[in-house]
Amino acid sequence: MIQLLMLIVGTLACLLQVATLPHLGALTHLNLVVLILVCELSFRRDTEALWTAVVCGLTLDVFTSLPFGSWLSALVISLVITNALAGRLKLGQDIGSLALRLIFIQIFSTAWILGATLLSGGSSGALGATLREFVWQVPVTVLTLTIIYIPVRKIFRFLEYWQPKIQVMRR
Amino acid sequence: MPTRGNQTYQIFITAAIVVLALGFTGATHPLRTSGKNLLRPLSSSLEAFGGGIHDDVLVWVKAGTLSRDKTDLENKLASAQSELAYLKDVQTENNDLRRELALPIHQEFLMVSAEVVSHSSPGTAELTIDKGSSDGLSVGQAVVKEGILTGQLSTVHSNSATVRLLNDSRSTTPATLVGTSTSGIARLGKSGLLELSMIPNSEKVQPGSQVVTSGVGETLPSGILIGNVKAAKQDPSNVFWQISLKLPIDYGNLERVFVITGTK
Repeated sequence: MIQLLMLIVGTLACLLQVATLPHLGALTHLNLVVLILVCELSFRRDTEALWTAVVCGLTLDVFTSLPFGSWLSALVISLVITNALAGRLKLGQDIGSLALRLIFIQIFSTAWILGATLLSGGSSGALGATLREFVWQVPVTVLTLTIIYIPVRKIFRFLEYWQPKIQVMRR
Repeated sequence: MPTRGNQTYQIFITAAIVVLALGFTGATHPLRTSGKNLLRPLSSSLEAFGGGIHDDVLVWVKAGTLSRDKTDLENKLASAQSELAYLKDVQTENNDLRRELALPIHQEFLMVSAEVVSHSSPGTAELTIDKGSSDGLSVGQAVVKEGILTGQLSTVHSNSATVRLLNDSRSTTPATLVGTSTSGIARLGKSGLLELSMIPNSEKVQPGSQVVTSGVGETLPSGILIGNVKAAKQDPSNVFWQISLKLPIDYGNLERVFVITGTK
């Protein structure tokens, strides 16, 4: 149930990312998808986050000019590497851990997208734009994460609290 | 957070790379087209929503800017109006001074220009001016406006002085009619008009004749215009004329006067 909700939220986040945010000034640089993935990876199970990454990646692939699967592979691979790193670094659910996860995902996904751009014969202008976007996205998204951290944590705890009851009701 | 193991990751990664590989070959093109068509209504709505927010914010920002501009312009207008009023005042003062300085009396006497800072208190006809002993003023000096005597300094402080006007009940000014040799006294009469007394009936007096300072007593220079004869009556029982004077200046509107401090 919660996973379905997260998939819908992820899809909506992707659509907002490509359709709405470009009109909203500084919020253009907000990476809503990574924000949701980081929260899900931190407060929920990694496989749930992976499924959300798949849906988000596919949705982003629909709307970008890169080869289909670029965003899907970028998000899945960066999520797996970040999760592995988080395990080694023993990252928790505090704001610093979330910020670190966010930075890792941003770095790996940007690196993957740069590679996909190069392989698909992208111009140096496109590479520069991706790098510039990365430079802006990291601080803007970390700042947003800091602002929404407490309410988001409460929402996930609330969902965690209600999940067993919903399942019982379904049985 | 616990992980399910490398196998799950491997499945996800392999699947993603397979899709990417298919993407490079172009085999997934129909998938992309279908996805786009499927999501187009939602993405169009969200895009319109974003555009709407952008326009609203733009209008709001522009309204704020216009409001600030309006306030700035209002402040500038107020400042310009204030400056204009000041400049008009200065121009009026400049014109007054030019007209005043063109009078022959300024060729003959040394004068100090003074601004009237307050008018008389009830029961008196006095002015306070913004110049005093530090500017060379002393008690008894004549005060003129447009070459016409208006009064004398009655009190002098270092940076201000009081002018006792001719129509003050305490003023007595030695005066004479132009063309006669007899000196009289100009003072406020019972009728409330300035009167010239002590002019013998033997003198020839006509309405409109000019009355000037006589210089008797040497407190005031001679020959400064005081006013004109308004009416002159002869009383058989009296040896002097009863002469009332018309003053050419409205003392209530004085803004700047000149104090005669000496001769050139």
